[in-house]
Formats: sequence, structure tokens, C-alpha cells
Amino acid sequence: MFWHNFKYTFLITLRSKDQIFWSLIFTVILGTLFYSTFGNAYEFEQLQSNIPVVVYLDDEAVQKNFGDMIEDISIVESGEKLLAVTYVDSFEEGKELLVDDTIGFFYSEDGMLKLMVNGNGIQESILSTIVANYHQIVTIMTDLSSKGPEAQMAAIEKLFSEASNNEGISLGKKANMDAYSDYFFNLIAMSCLFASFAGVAFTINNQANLSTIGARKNVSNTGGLTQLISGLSAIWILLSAMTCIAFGYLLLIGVNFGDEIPRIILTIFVGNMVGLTSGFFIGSIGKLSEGVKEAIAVAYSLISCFMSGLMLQMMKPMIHMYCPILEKINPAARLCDALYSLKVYETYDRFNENIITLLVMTVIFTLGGFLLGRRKQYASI
Amino acid sequence: MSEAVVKIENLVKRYKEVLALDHFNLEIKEGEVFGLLGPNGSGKTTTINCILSLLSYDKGEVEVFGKKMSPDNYEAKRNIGVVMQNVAVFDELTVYENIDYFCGLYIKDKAKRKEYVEEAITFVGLEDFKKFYPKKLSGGLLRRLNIACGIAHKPKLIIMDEPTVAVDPQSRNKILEGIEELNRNGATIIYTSHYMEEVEQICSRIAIMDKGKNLALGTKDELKKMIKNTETIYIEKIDVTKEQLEAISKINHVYSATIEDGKLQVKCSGGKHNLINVLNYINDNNIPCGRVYSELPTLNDVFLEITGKELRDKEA
Repeated sequence: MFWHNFKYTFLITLRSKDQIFWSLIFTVILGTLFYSTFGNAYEFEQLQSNIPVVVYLDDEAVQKNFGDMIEDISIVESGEKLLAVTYVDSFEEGKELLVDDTIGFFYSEDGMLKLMVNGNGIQESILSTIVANYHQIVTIMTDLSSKGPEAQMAAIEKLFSEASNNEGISLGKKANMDAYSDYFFNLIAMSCLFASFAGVAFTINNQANLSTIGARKNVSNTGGLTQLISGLSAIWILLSAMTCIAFGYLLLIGVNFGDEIPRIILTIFVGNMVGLTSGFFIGSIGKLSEGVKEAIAVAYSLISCFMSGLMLQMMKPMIHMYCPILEKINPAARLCDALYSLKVYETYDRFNENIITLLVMTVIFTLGGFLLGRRKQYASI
Repeated sequence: MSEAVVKIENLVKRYKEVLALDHFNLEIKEGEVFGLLGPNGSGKTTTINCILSLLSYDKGEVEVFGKKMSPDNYEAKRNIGVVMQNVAVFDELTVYENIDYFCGLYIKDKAKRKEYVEEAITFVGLEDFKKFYPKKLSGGLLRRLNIACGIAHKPKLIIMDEPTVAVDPQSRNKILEGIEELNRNGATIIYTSHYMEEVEQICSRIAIMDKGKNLALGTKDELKKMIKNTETIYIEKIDVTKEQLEAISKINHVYSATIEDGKLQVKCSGGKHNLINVLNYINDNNIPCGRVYSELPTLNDVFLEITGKELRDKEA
């Protein structure tokens, strides 16, 4: 009965046009659009040098960290300086200069680095990427500082040894972080979380009070648990494979995810497990209609991705700064961070931490869904 | 005497303030085609769901094949087939795959299952549509697929909840013939419907339900004997005076004579020559009239007399 149900659930999901669209085709389309946009940006970036900026940093910490950083940033191939920096003595002066030929104005406010730009071209995008990278480094350093002075010192040494080579900011030999990687990490996370749609549909088709198919399955002599485990396993494997195909496509077109392919695939499987079980949980909540449950799954997936920076890269550091708990419990953020840590760190501590967090989420969603939907009889149908 | 396949005792089911089943009792014997007849909302589907142990109930007992029915009574479930009121198939699977999927929830052996699926397809006449997806089937063919999914595993008890709703006459006949064949092959059938003609045609015993109660139970002839009316005579395009109408109502065995839209309706109780007696009066009084016909009581008349209302909402 297990394999019979597994086979047919696999087939049903494989033929579900909606699910395949969201998990595979949409991811591929969006990936292509991202790449065509950022791909041009990559090429254009090579032509950019000496972007005129003004800097006014009245915060000591920001001045110390960011001041060193902007001086060292240069083009990898040519070695030319990326920024032509002019320091000013006041915020007003900086604003005035921005009106003329200057592209951007870096300033500090409430201990944070801010950027004011004069337009929305590629040079402005490069500047906003620098700010995003700066926030990421600050985040990493804050994390490391909590792990003791030795780890902090080691990281700082690596950071500066790489920085001194004028080849970008690195945390280790593996580090190869570009400005747009986060978007592609988020894309993979989004594809994983879209498994929640299949989780909702499967749960509805498994409950007698929500669908006639559920009623028909419930009156059969195959146990509910067998149907549940076999069905969820089939969907999980299929949708993980879909995300892997999308990932393979992104690799083919030239997106750089680093060289930890097996662990990225593991992350994809774990991500789909979280997505699917969250859908199972949503589908098991009360007697809400199918449409409402689907809407909840869509909102859950998209809000998770939004908060981890899919639509706006600045969201991630902002959430980290103002509401870190949201970052901790956001599956999309954990997935992105797992992929990010694979690309940036030499050790797997942070990756393992993310994977464990995602597995804990899976257990919580599964138990929750099981408890909510465990009834064998219904008060009304 | 045949054993009871389904036994319901004193069943009470409430939906908040609504009493869906009111101390409902029923016993269905092996080999019967048992009809549950009642208007929409009378409690037919609630009864079915309680028998299947899908619904919890407030009071009473349900036994299937001599054992208390529960969600874990897999032995009983193995021998039950259900044809739901709404079509319950997967749009992503073909006709063959749908039947194979639902049959496979009961039958593990692949070879046996293949044989059963082929038989079910032949039984419902979907041989030419095996590879079709449900969305490509007409309403009637979809209903047949729905039936095949419910009966492919050869259950001993088949529960059919209004399987002919929105079905064309050709498919309806095919379905009704199929039900009779299933019964001849040994299956006990519970058939719910608000189409009295279908119930009269195929059911060996009938329970009339309303407001969660069992109002009457018996064969169709037994039910018809429960009511006063034995014959209704209709005379179209007739023009009678009030006095003549009163005189007709006083003819032997006639207990009611009414006129509506120029059509005379004469209700009789007992007697063998009621039509001749009425026609003689019309002839003797030179009353002009159109078509004359007589009808025996239907289950709707039984329902009307017991509850004071029509079994089905009058169609517009």
C-alpha cells in the first residue's frame, strides 16, 4: 500500500501543472531574468572605476570599519580603484556635492551606514551593493564576536589578509561572494518554500471533512498514517528534484553558487522538507476553505522570501538589526544563510546550525500538522 | 433469515442547534438494495457518513457486518465500497489510473488488482476512455468513473449517495442497470436518492426519511398500502360547476375532487372501477372534456401524505 500510494502521489504531483510551474518553471524564469539583469551588471561593473562619492562619517565605529573598507575596494582584474572618495566635514556639504557630479553620498546615522544617491543607474546600484556588503560583514563580525576573541581574531586576520590583496572582501579561501548571490540563494529558498502549496493540496485531499477524495481515502482500509507518510515522501522527493533541476539550470547559465554542490543539494532537500511540512501544517488548520489555505501558503512563502531579501536586498540586514528573532525563525533566511555559509565559510559550523534549525522547523510543522489533523472522525463534513 | 449487514440503533446527530438524526433506527439485510429516500437535508448523507464512521455522533450505535463500526474497523472497511454524491477522482490521473489508485487502497496483489480494474472498466462501459483524463469526460461518463472507483475492489456492501445527480438519461439507465447487476452478483446496496422513480425501480426495501427521522419503512407496495390514496384520475380541459364537482366527490370510493387550471383531479381510496364510475358521471351529465388518464400512487404520494409536503422541490 505504501509504494502504491507513493507512486500515485508522485504521478499526481508530477502532472500538477500549477505545482511544476511554481517549483520549477517560475524559478527558472525568475533565475533567467535575474541573471540577464545582474549578468549585464557584472559586465558593466568591470567598466566602472573611480565612481565619485562623498563621505561624511561622524560615527566612530562606522568611520573605523567603513573608512578602511572603501579605501581598499578596487576592480579585481585591473586593480583600479572603484571609488573616487571625497571626504567632507558636514552632512550638508555632502548633500550639496551630491547634487553636482557626485554619484553617491555615504554618511552615518544612529550608528548605521547610510547611502544617498543621485539617480538609479548601475553606479548607484554598485554603491548600494557596497552598503549591503558592509552590513553583511558587520553582521558576520557581530556573530563571531559572540564566539570568543580567538575566533574573532582569526576572522579579522583572514579578512585583512584578503582585503590587502585588493581582491574584494573575504572571510576565507572559499569566499567568492558577489553582490547578487543573495538573490539566487533566495530564489532557491523560494522554490523550496513553494512546496508548501503541494503540502496544502495533499492535506486537503487527505481529509474527509475537506474533500470528497479525502472521504473516499478515509473509508478505505489503508491506514491514514501510511497514506500520509507515503504521500508526503513522494511529493518531497519530486519537488526536491524540481528545485535541483532549477539549481542545475542556474549553474549552467553561469550563476556561481560555489563548489559545495552536494551540500547545496542537501540544503535543497531539507528546504523542500520544510516547505512541504509547513504546507501540511497550514492544510491541517481547522475547516478553512481550500482557497484560504492556499492563500496562507502563498503569503507565508512570499513573506519569508521578502524578509530574507528576495525582493529587496536591504531587508536581510534590516531584519537582522531590528528584529533578529524573525531572521532566526524565517525558513527562507535560514536556507539562504545555509547556502551563503557554504560559499563563504571554510568550516561547516554555521551551515550545520542552519540545517539543524530547518530540521527542527520540519519536526514542529509535522507534529503540528499531525496533531491538528489527527482526527479520524469529524463533527461535520 | 438474512443477517443484518448494517444495523443502526437510536442514532442521534446534532450540528449545533440542528438535529440531523433524531433517534434514527435502521436494519439493512444481506442481499438487499435498500433505498434511503428523502428530500434534501433530510439526513440521508449524514446517515451514510455515520455508517462509514466519518462523522462522530452524539448517541446511538452503528454496526457493520455484525461489529461496531469505527474508523479503525479495517476488516469492515475492506468490504465497503462508496460512491460519493460529488465526483471524487483525481484530475491528474487517467480513467484507468484513477480506478487502479482507489482499488489499490484495498487490494495489494497487482495481478488481482489489474483484473479487478479491467472488470470495473467494462462494468461501467468506459473501455474506450481508459486513457482519458477526467476533464475530457462528459458528466455522465464522469459519474460512471466515480462509480468504478467505488466498486472496483468488489465490496460486499456498496453505499451509493445520489450517484445519478446531473446525469443524462442514457448514463442514468446504465448506472441503474449496473446497480441491479452488482446486487445480482451478491452485493448489498444502500442507495440514497431524492429521485423516487429510481428508488422504485431498483430498491427492494425503502426507508422514507425527513428531518432525521425514519418515517416509513417497507417495500414499495407496503409503503403505498400505508396511505389512503390508491388511484388518482385526471381529466383535462373540463368545465364543471361547483355542484357537479361536489357530486363527483360523492361517487363511491372517491374522497377528494378538485379542479386546478381546468384539470380535474379525483382521488380514490380502494374500489376497482373508479375510472368507469367517474366517466359515467361525466357522460350522463354531458360534460365536455379532454384527455382522461389514471395514475397509481407513487412514493411521492406516500411522502406527501405522511409529511404533508412534496418529496422534491417542484422544478421551474
